[in-house]
Amino acid sequence: MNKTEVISQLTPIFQIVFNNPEIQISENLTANDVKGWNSLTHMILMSNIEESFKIKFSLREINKMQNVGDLISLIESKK
Amino acid sequence: MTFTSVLFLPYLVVFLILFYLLKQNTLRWLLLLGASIAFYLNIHLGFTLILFLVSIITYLTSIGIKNSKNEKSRVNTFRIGIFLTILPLLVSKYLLTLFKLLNDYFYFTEQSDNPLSWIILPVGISFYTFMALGYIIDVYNEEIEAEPNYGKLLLFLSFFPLVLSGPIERGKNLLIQFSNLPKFDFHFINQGIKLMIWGYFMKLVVADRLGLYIDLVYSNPNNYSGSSIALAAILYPFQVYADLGGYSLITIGVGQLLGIKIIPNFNRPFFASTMAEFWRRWHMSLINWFNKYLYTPLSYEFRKLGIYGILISLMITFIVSGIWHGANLTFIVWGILQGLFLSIEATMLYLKQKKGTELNSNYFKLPAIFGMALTFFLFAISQVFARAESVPNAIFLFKKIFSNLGMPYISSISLLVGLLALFMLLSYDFMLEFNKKRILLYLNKYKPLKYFILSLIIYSILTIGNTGSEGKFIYFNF
Repeated sequence: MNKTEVISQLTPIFQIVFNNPEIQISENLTANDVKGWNSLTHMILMSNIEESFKIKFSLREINKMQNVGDLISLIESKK
Repeated sequence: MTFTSVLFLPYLVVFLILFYLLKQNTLRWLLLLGASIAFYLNIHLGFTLILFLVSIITYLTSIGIKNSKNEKSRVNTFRIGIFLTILPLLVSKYLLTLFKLLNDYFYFTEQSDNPLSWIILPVGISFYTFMALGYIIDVYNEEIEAEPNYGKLLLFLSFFPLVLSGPIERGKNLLIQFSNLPKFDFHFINQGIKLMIWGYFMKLVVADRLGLYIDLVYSNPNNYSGSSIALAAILYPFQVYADLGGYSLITIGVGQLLGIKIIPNFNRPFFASTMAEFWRRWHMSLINWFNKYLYTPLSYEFRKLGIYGILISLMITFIVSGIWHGANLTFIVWGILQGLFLSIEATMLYLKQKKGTELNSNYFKLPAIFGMALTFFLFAISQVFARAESVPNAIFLFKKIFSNLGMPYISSISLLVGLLALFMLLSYDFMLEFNKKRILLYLNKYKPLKYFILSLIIYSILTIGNTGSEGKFIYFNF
C-alpha cells in the first residue's frame, strides 16, 4: 500500500469521526489543526482506522505519533 | 522544616550563596542533593529511609529494563519494579484503613488495639512515588534513557522544592537540567523572588485566613447556620487553590532561584467555563500524570467501545485520583462526582459533534460567565465531600444548607481580611486572564507604583500572614 492509497482511505475516516466533510489529510496535519480532535476523540479515531485497515496499533506506537505523517508511515509499515 | 518555617529563608539564602560560589556542575548538583536530603531528614529520619528505598528500587528497575536481554525479562523487570515502587505508598496510605474495614466485619481485635496503628503517612510519598512510577514507565516506553548516575536519580526524587507536595515532575524535564545547571543570572533571581512573594501571599494571607473560618465551621457544623456552612463550602475551593497554588508558586520560585524550570501546577482555574477545561487548569501536574499513565492506556484498552470506552476510562481515572487523595470513602465519592460531571460533558460534546453542530467549548451557548459559575458551583459541591470527615457528615452539611439557612456567622476579622486578600488574588488572576497587556497594579511598568504594591504585599504577609508557625499545607496530608 503506498502513501496515496493510505491517504485516500484515511480521508473519509477523518471526515466521519470529526463530522466534517471538508477535512483534507496532509502529512503535517496535527490534532491542533482539527476541530474536535482531542483526548476524547483520539482513541475513537484510532479504533476506526484499525478497523478499516485491519491492523492493530500498540499503545506505544499511538503515543509516539506527532502528526498525520507519522500515522501514514505507521500504516504503510503494517500493510 | 517547611517553606513557612522561620528558618527556611535564612537557610535558603546561605544555600544559594554556596550554590553560586561553586563553579563546577558536579559540585553544584551534589550540593543540591546534600541540601535536599538534609531538608527531608529534618522532617523525619524514617521517611528519609523510605525515600532512599524507593529511589534504589526505581534506579535498579530502570537499569534492569535498559539491560534486559529479551522482551520477556524487560516486561518482568518492569512489572516487579512498578509493584515494589508503589508498595511503600500502598502500605503507608491504605493498609491501616483496609485493616480497619476488615476488622469491622471479622473482629480480629479491639479497635483501640489496632496492631497497625503505628503506621503514619510519610509526607510527600504520594508525590515522589508518582514521579518514580512516571520515570520507570517513560524508560520502559523508551521515551527517556535510564539515568546511569544513581545520585542524580536520587536528587530527582528528593529535590527539596518538590519533595513535600510536587508539582509531580517528569524525569524528562528535570534530570536534563541537573546535568546543565545555569550560571548566576539576576533575571532568574528577580523572577524567583516575585513568584515566592506571591506564593507566600496566597498561602499565608489568603489560604490560612480563609482556613480559620472554614475549619471553625467544618469542625462543628451543629453550631452554625446553613448559610455559614454554604459560605465555608464556597470558600473551600479558594482555600485549596491558594494553599496548593501558593505552595506551587514558592516551589517554582525556588526552582527559578537555582535556574531550574519547574512545571506549572495551576492556570487560573476559576476562569474555566467547562469542567474539562477546569481540569486542564487545576493541579495540572497530577492530572497530566493521570492522563498520560492511566487515562490514555485505559482508553486504548477500551477503544473498541467508542464513546462508552471513553466514559469508562474517565470514571476509573477520577475514582483512582480520588483514592490517591486518601483512603476514605469521601474521596471515592469526590472522584465519582468528577467522573460523572466530565462524562456528561463528554457525552454532550460527542452528540453535538455527531449532529454536526458548531463545536465550541461552551456547550450551552451561554455567556462564558455562566459556564464559569456552573463549573465553580459543581466543583465546590464535590469539594464538600473532600473536606468533610465522612460521607454522612457531608450529606448532613447539604441537608443543613437546605433546611436551616439562617444568617451567616461573620464576626471574625480574619474572614474579612481573608475575603479582601482573596479579592486581590482573583483580581490579579482576572487581569492575567483577560487583560494581559494592561496589568495595572502588581506588574506595573511605572516602577515606584510597582515597588509600592510589592512592599504592600510583603507587609501584609508579615503582619496578617500566619508566619512563625510550622504552617501545614493541605496537600501534606495526601
